[in-house]
Amino acid sequence: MKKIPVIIDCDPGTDDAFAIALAKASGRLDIRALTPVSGNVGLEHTAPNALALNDYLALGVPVGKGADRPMIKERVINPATHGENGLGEVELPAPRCTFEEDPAWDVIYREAVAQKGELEIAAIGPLTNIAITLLKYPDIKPLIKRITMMGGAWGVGNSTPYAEFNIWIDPHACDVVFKSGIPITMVGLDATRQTFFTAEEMDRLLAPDCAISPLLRGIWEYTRAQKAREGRESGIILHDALAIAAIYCPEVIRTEPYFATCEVRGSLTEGQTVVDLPNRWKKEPNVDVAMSADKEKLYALLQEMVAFYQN
Amino acid sequence: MPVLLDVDTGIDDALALLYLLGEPRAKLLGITAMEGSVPLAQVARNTLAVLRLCGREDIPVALGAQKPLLGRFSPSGKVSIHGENGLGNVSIPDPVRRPAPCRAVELMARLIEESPERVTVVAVAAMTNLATFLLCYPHLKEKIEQLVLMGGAAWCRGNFSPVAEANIGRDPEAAQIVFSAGIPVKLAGLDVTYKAYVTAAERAAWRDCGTRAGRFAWEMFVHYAAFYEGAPGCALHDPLAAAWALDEALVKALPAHLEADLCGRYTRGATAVDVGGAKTGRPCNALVGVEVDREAFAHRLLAALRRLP
Repeated sequence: MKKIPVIIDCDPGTDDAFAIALAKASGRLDIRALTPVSGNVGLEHTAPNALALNDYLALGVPVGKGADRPMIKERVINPATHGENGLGEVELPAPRCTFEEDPAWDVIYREAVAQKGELEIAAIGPLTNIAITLLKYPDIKPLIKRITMMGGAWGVGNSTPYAEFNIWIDPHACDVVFKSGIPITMVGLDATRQTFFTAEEMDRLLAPDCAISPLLRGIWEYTRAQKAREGRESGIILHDALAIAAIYCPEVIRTEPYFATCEVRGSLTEGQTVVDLPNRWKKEPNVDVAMSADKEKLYALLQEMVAFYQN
Repeated sequence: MPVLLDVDTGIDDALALLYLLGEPRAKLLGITAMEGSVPLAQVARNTLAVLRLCGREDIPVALGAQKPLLGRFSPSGKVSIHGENGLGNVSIPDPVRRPAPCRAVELMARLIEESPERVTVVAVAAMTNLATFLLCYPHLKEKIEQLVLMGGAAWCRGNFSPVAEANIGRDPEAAQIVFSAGIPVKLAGLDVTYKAYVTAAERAAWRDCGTRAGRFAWEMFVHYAAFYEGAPGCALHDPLAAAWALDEALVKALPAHLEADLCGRYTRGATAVDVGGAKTGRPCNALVGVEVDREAFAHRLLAALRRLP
């Protein structure tokens, strides 16, 4: 089967690391580039992390540095969840590869042109890089086959009562993406929350030794300790991994097409992805919204990933 | 002084362009265009035609945005002050060349990178091109000397909404990106541009100054002036921004904290100005124009038109 050419726009990020590892292990994705953006932690961490992951996972792809802040809002980061360094304090070997000279938006455009309409984008951080790409290159739209984004929620948020982190960080960028006319799959909290892996499940998943066990176990141990500090139920949601899985294994989520828009002006609702579930606005659907996820399927894909790195 | 100009030509844009072409202290490096009161193709045509009229076909023109950062322009539906062709329905010869085969932001980046000196950007349209440039090339911010913007209305009534001026009101998010970029901003808003008017007699002097540029300027303003009947003269919004870029002393301005309102139900697109940052404690990021030396301004314009072909 032909591999799907994909750019992973990311903010590694603990679940980003799992997601990128999964993308490589799947054998179904032709990763064309990593384009880090400021998000979970600042670009000063996410960009070097992307480089380090590129080497550690033997991706050998271009890494184009993206935005170091949201389009308009002030920058906010999330070091509690991801550790100061963004990878749960896991120290990867210093990378030998270097950044592309071109920034993320130029790398994305270049690849989109080269792939002649077949390129997909996995956007698993705030959407700043993608929005800047669309603003600089409005002609890119017919060249992107689909954007699969981890972000948003039609139900309950996490950063605020209504907003999911990636969108809340840069709602304006999400607005640009939603209005772009490019086919979009939105893998939001409504779906990712259904893939909560318990401590027991994570321990079982990561028990077999593999080439990247230090990374995977280090992240899981950081998260376990963090959850304990916060007195929350032990376990982890690998949000970004679900979005990656959805690209090559669509049955891992169930989607429905809706009109969706992003609230950029609200106070309590800022960053909310407003999905017109009841079709009140009678607008053409622009987003395939993940309504649910198949946790067992994702778990199986992650087990395959571990097996891949054992060889 | 190396200058980049962003326009949506437009009668007063055209006059701002004529001023910069006729001002020996200004070195106009290039022009970027965006959709405005007329479609982008017409903006391009007008800009290139004015350059041809002045024999300055060496100056590159590149096309940029056709809509604001987020979404669409809301059509005003009013009869445009700029006339159907954007130049007060005055016809001048069509340009013989086409716009540069690159994007507006790419032209800006190239010219700024190549300039040995820091560049002044004069922006007299909605701020979409400038904001996109700042998003794409944040490392070039330090090579920009100043941003001189026609836009906003700090305390006077707006012309887009009761409180918002059109260049800000049409793309408030772009304006906010520009205001908060950390580059010194001079804001020539309606507070001061309405005071920068020229009388019928002063315009007649353009006609009689002996150049085709002067004659063209006068002709365009026959249409424009009809919108200012009863006033002492017609306001030259965009040319004031261009002139202020060259002459600090032309405009009296207040240091202030400046933001574009993005969220108000009624105030979206308004320029919120806190003089000295006194009420909000926020840092001053702009000089907000309040008074103009009108006669000196009119004099400089006429002198510039005289120097053109």
